[in-house]
Amino acid sequence: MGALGRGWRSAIALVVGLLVVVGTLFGSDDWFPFAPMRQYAYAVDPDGRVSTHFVEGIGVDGDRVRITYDAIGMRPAELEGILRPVDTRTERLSEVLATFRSRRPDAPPTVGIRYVRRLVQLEDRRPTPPELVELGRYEAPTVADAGAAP
Amino acid sequence: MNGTRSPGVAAVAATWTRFWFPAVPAARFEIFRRLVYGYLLLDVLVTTTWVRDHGSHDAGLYQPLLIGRLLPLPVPTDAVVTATMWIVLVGAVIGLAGRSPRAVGAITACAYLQWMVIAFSYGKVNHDRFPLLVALFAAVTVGRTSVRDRTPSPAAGWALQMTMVATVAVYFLSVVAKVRYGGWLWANSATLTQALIRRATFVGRGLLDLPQVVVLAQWAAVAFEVATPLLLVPHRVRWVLWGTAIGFHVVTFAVLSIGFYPQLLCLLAFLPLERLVPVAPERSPAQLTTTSPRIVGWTSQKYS
Repeated sequence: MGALGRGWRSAIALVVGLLVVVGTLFGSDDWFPFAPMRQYAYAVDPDGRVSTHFVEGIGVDGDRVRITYDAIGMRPAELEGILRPVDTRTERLSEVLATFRSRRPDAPPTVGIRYVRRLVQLEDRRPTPPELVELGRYEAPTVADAGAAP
Repeated sequence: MNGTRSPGVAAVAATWTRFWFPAVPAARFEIFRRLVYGYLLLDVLVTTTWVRDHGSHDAGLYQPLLIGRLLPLPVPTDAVVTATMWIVLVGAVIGLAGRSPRAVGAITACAYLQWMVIAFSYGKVNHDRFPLLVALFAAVTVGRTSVRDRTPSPAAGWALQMTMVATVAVYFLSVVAKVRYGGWLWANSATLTQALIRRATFVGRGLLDLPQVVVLAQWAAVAFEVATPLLLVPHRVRWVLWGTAIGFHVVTFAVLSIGFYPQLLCLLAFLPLERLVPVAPERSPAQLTTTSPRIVGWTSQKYS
């Protein structure tokens, strides 16, 4: 390998290395593939609260319609990421519901969707029984609008 | 030009060259390249099938990453996702056969990058893909070679070294990120407890009753991640780290069902993979002392 070959390979190594280091120090997820390596990098208070989130459909009679991650083709962290901004949450929920309906046409009819937080209080690193909190909701005006009627 | 360099500069240049351009057997790289393409098939068809689901999402859920906004990438409709998937799959199959490694490799690397942009433009980014992407793009710089070619090659050495450095960067920079987002005492936090509450396996659930063990595990993880640059040192200690890395991933999988498969794949780049395939007798009879000709015949298909 000549000096030229070593030169451009060295330059690539430097640029890629610099980008990934700067990405971790100052970047955000948006910088992928040079995003910060931040999975599990947040510190959780040993006496704090751990929340998990899920969506569930609102059935015609107000009953709960189970929406699994598989049914909407998303991963838990993806759902949380999409529903995190409060100002666009209702709109995103309507899209999640639309995705659920198109992927699970045989599911029980739904007139809406709600976004729920499951809160677990930690006491000295040990979990206590969970509490459920509704964080957002989208309701289709009618069942027909919701695509449940034939 | 060398004559005008000070001894210090020359020493740095020599160290740099030794580090980035080790003359490794071309076969080591070629076997790794085939493993990478084999993994792509597994990745797309088995381990990360959720990427395909993104084609069925409502278009409003697509939040393109910076790279997706800079490059004219289409919104991932079903057709776009399916087309991207097929380009990756076909590229990987051709790559596995060792055909046109530069052209097919470049197309496959770009298609897989787009596949990843599709994967991560819905609110969640994983960081274990970095070394795989580096490996795919670095592979393009090495021309056609054979899984039995033991010729020392600095080009192959550079491609492997890029992959290895990227692999180490994931571990080491995740400590930097822990300091950035979690503070210096991240390891005293309840982050693993949170992960266990959210996604523990039946093995992991038992750990929730052992909070001190969880804290110890966090310190152990940080110690391992800080030590990972030793993986790049040509000394026996690298194999201790390598074994620890494998152990780390096995435990993470057993406890949280998180499999860092691309990271595991890239850990293979550290191994003398050329030993997996015996040298062809006509190429290098000197290296055949421990290999019987019949076994050589078993892998005697032509690669180049």
